[in-house]
Parts: sequence; C-alpha cells; structure tokens
Amino acid sequence: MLQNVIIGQYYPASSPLHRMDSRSKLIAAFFYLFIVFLANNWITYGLLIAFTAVTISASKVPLRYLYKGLKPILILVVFTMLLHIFLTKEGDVLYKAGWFEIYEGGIIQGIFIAMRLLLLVLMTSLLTLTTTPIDITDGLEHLLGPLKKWKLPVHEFALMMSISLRFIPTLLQETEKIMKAQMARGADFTSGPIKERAKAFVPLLVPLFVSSFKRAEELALAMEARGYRGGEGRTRLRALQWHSRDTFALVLLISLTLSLFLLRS
Amino acid sequence: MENIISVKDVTFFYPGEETATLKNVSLDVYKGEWLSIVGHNGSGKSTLAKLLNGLLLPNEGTVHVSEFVTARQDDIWEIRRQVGMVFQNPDNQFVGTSVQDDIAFGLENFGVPREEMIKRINESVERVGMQAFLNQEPHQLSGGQKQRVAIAGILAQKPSVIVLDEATSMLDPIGRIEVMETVRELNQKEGITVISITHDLEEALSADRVVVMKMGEKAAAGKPETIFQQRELLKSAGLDLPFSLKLSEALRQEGVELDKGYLTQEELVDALWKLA
Repeated sequence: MLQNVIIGQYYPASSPLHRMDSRSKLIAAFFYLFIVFLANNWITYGLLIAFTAVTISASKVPLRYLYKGLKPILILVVFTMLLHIFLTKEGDVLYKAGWFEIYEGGIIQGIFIAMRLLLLVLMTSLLTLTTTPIDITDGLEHLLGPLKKWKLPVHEFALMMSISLRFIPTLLQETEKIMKAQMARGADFTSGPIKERAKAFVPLLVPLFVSSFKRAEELALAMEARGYRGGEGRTRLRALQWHSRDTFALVLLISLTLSLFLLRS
Repeated sequence: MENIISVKDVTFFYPGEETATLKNVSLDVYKGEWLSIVGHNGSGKSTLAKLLNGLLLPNEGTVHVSEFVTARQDDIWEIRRQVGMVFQNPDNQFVGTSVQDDIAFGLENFGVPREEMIKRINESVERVGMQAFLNQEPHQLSGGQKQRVAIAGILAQKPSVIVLDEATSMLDPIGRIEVMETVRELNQKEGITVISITHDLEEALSADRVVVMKMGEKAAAGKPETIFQQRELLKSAGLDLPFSLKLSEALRQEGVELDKGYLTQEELVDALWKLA
C-alpha cells in the first residue's frame, strides 16, 4: 500500500501549468497573494475570478481534487463571511429583528472576504498540485540563491528538504514494519480509549526515532565518501528551464495587476 | 606489482577509547586485484576500510592512494573520487530522489558540467544493468538494485578502487549474486581494483588475495587456498569456515579418504566422485 504514496498533493498531468518552470510558478503564486488584496469592488473581483478560472482550466486538475484541498478551510470561509455579515454596519438595513440587524454593506463585505480567501487558497493549491515537491525545492533554491550573500544557508536548506522528501517513503515503510512487529506481539493501535491508543504509539515511535538517527549518521558518512563538501563549487543535474510561456504568464499577471489598479474604487 | 593503496604502520584510536581499534597495520593493495579483508565483528576491518578514503585519519602511520596521502587536506577529494565506497545499508546511502539524481550526487559534488554528467550517468547505469530504472524512486527498488545504483554512482566518478564495506550483508541471496556479479565483471573486464570487507568467507573464496583481521591486527595475508588451510587461525579470528571445507573435514573424520580440505563445492564434488 505504501508503494504508491504520492508525497504532497501533486496531481500528475501534462498541462501548460505543469510544464511551467517552478520558479515562475512560485513567483506568480507569491505575487498573487498580494494582488488579491487590491480588489475591492465587483469588477475587480470578477476579474480575479476570471483569471483564476482560466488558470484552473489550464492546469487540467479535476475540480474534485481542488475541492479536496479546499474542504479544510471551508469552515473558516463560512465563519469569516458570517462574522462580516453580522458585524459590518454600512449601507441600508436589510433585516431587523430586535437588536439584530443585517446591513447591505455587511452582505457585500462578507462575500468579498470569502471570495478573497477562496481565491488565495485555490491559487496556492494549484501551485502544489501542478509542481512536484522536488521541483518546488529546486525553484526555491534558485530564487533564494541571492540570499547566500547574507550567509543564509539556502543550499543546505534545499538539500535538507530533498533528503526529507526522499526518506518519507522509506520511513513509512519502516513504520509499517515496526507496527506489524509490535502487533505480532500483541500491541493494539486501533482500539481502546484515546489515552491508551496514544500510549500504544510510544513503542512505535521510539524505534523509529532511534533508527532515523542511525540512518542520518550513515547517510552523512556516505555523502562524505562521495565527495560532498557543501554547496560551494557544486554543479547540478536538475536544470530549470525558463521558457517563453513563463515570461508570458508573468506578463499576464502584471497586466492583471495594472487592470486591478485601474478598476478598483 | 604496482601498489594502488599502501597502508603503513597504521594505528587508530576512536576518540575516548582506551584500546586501539587498529594496531600497527600495514597493507599493500595491488592495482587490479580483488582483495578480501575478512574478520569478525570488532576486528577493525570496517575501520580499516574507512581509513582507505580518508573518512577516518590514522593516529599513527600513513595511508597512500597512488601518490596521494589521506592526511593531506588538499588530496582528500581526489582520493574520495578515486576510492569509491559501497556501504552496508542500501537505503542509507541513497541520497537522490531518483536513480539518476542519486548517481548525479557524486558528480555534482565534484563540479562535473551537466552535459558530461548526463553522458556519464547513462554510461554507468548501463555498466551495472540498471538502464531501465533511471527515473525510479529508491523505495521502488530492491536492496540489490539499490546497491547496484550505488556502484553506478561510484563508476560515474571514474574510480580506480571500489571498496565494498559489507555491501552484501543486508541483501537476499539473489541481490547478493547480482551485486557480486556486477563487481566481478568490473574487476575482470575493466581492471578496477576491488577491496571487499566481509565476514562471509564464502565471499572471500573468489578473491585474489585474503587479509585476515583479528583484534585490530593483521593476522595473515595470502592467497585464499593457503589462508583457508589454516583452520586454527580462522577459528581463532572468529570466522566460520566455508561450507565445502567444513564438509570435507567432517567427511575425513568419518574416514572418507580425502587428501585435503576442498574450498569450493565443485572441487569437492570432483574429488568425491573420483573416490574408489
């Protein structure tokens, strides 16, 4: 069962969005986080929704995958929407029952805020849905590269990320093995009160920790034996390639920003 | 014969330990040979292996790899490029997220340009018969396949020596055969020197030369045929005799007239069916 685990929520497909350079996707997603806040009327929100819809259709990610990513934050969206509806006191009163009043401004504000949250989460999950974790790591390493000047360990951070990604399936396999070994000796991970179940995980976690430390030590030795001496003077096999579609995407995003500036009230 | 590695009067202490793990060990490794270093747990054989590529540095004595010295900081990277090492646990030496990333790891460290890297990766996976697995992830491979990837990673660095540090001890019999066949071919066809550290005497049978380690000292060195006749020595070094040798011995005790202990199954069978 662990043979086919997909790390993160990457959805494998071949779409223009999948083929984009991870750097341009990272830049675009980051940029989008800011321009979402520019929208403040129906036209600008409409524009953002249209842009997001086009991006989603270009990604070829099925909507149910996107919905799965949205589910955990839906409660938050509804909650903030209700909060705005009840607490904003602007415009005409639409409904009144004793002390309880709902204003037109409240409804509008509630919808806008909910939209904003949804758009943000949609776009950022599109990034992780169309980019493998290792590509995101590579992209981050490139983009943050200039920070090395200020002694920020960018290369070390990226290597750490990629090694953790590589060891996730290995550790999952090991967890399964230890679990089976403990179950064979009568451990019970699935029933009983929560406190008991939490306790049952101790004999699972201890051996897992011990072996992880052992692995780390051996891996470090193996890396040294293969000539690893930090990021200095290293070349790389994984090459990121900036295509015209990446430039195009960023230009599109900039024109979206300009339109937002022009159309916002 | 030309030396590729020479270990001279090496003594080594692990920090904080009273007794030396290696005591005054000297050893020459000849170019192109297959040398087996055998010994029981704690005999110092793995420590010796780690001294060969400068992962550990001797407290006394020197280790030369052709004209380079492990104690010299400027030489260490060239030594690690030349002396590749395959470790015991197949999982804990797989650094990359896929086969080609892992083979590339060593090349990236040595600053090999990307085009050259791709060429060398393709060439070395072919030499270990893993060309169909280039994009596979480590958890999809068997232990033997992972060890072959480790060997490919070393081959890509154009090494002159491969050190197998108990590289087959965690593998199933099929994986063990895969790895040994791969290494044997590299040794015979391409003249790469192989140093195999093992406690499995069966594995040492096919070596050109065997060194027996005992309590941090070199107890004996020589051709397998001569070493394996010294039963007392092997027993005192805590090693288990190869099966065919044990069987010939047991047969002799039962009164079967064999003139010596036979090393391989084939020799023993030949001797047995010739009996009157």
